[in-house]
Amino acid sequence: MLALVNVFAEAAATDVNQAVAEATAKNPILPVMNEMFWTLVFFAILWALMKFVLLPPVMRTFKERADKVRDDQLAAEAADTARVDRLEQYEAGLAGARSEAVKLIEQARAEGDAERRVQVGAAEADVASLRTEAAAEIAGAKERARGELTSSITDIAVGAAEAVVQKSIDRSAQVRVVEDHVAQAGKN
Amino acid sequence: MIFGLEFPPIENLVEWPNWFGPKDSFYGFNKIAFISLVAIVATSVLFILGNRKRSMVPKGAQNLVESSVAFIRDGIVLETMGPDGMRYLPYLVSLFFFILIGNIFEVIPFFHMPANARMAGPAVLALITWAYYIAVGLKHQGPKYFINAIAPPGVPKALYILVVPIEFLSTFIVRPFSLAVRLFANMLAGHILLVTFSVLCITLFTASLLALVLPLSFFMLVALTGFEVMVAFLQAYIFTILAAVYIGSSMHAEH
Amino acid sequence: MSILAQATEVAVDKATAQAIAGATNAGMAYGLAAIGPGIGIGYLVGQSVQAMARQPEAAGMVRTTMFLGIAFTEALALIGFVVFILLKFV
Repeated sequence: MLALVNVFAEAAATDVNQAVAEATAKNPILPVMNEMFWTLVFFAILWALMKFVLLPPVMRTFKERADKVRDDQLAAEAADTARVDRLEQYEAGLAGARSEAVKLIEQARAEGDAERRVQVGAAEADVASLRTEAAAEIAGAKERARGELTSSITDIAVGAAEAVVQKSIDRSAQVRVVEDHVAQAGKN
Repeated sequence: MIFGLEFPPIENLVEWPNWFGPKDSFYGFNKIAFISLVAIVATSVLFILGNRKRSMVPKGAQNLVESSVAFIRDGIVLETMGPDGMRYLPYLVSLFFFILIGNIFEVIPFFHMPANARMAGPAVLALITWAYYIAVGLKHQGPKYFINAIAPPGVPKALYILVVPIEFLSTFIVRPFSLAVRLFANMLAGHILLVTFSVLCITLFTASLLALVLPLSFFMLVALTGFEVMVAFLQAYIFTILAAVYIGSSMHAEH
Repeated sequence: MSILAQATEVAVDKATAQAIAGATNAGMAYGLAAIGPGIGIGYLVGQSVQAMARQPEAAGMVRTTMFLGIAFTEALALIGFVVFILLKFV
């Protein structure tokens, strides 16, 4: 088949030059002058328009948007820092108030303690005086009772002894003996 | 002619008579030129609508404009050139919109002709890009740009015999050529594909048994229309990103 | 083949012969030109998908590079297409 095609090609080759010369006028591949001219003109116009009129506003919008995003970002970061600062301040204030409160409580507690100590001391003093009074009273009563007891015991003992020996006994000596005894008993 | 299928000659598909201006003059204004004009007008209207009421939270036209510009900025400029390439953004944005709108006319009713299926548009854009990246190279590196571009350092001396012609060809000849041919051939192929299926649908629209194939053909036409919308976008993206890569490679000497 | 056989029988004139040769060579040129880029793009996209699956965070970079690679690879097929148009219609 290729050989056959070559035969045709050779047959055609004789006036191929003429055919090509004829074909160049309507060659669908080659660029045509008027279309090239208009394409060049219109593309140059579009390029100039794009460079000076159409594109700059778009780029400005991009830039504004980027700036706004950056500014907002910075503002947000600043707000965040301010928030942290305020939080720290607040916490510091809170800690101060808390320590103040602790101090007040401590003070109140100390005052209370002192007051209580004073009260307790007074009460204890009262109690002590009452106790001394009572003790004095008791001692007096004891003395009196011992005196009474001594005289009555002396009487009984002297009477009993007189009854035993059938004669009067020196009362004063007996009194001394009984007193000694009672005093000894009181000691024991 | 197969089964009465008459495919129109290619001149009828891609060549358009002048609306005004003499036939072979350099300023003859035809459909292709009109589509290029629409590309400017549509882009300008879109941007003016988008810029009219600028707000921090974009919506409507502003949203569309901003997402396209952000797409080109983030997906193309920053990806291939870094922050230094921001000054070439206007060129790349106009390139993208010019090509996209020229391409999208492939599927717009009553036009059905991608402006870039004519070699003129891609050739002009590729030549402008070629001149632009050479200019950027000269501006950033001075006359040493040509030496840096042709003879990359770090190659064994003997290999320069091989490397210099290859680098010269690939940087100064193949780059603009492939840039133009890629866009042109993609759009022309898509255009011919759509024409083929349209012609097939029209031919099959008969009372014969062949009409049974018509739904398949029509489905292919619809599917390919969607596919061509994607191709239109993709080719605009690829042209723009390649222009960005070339400009970026001129900004710094190769290492 | 049948078209060619018919063509030899009816002793075509030179223009038709050229058209037939052009059409045949055009189809062959495009068919051959599409093989390499087809394999190349398939391999490229497959590897890119693998890369994206392994490192989803690098997907954007991989996608950009993938499109660049597709653009470079596809150029070969497109030059084949241009040759097809040149052979077929010019």
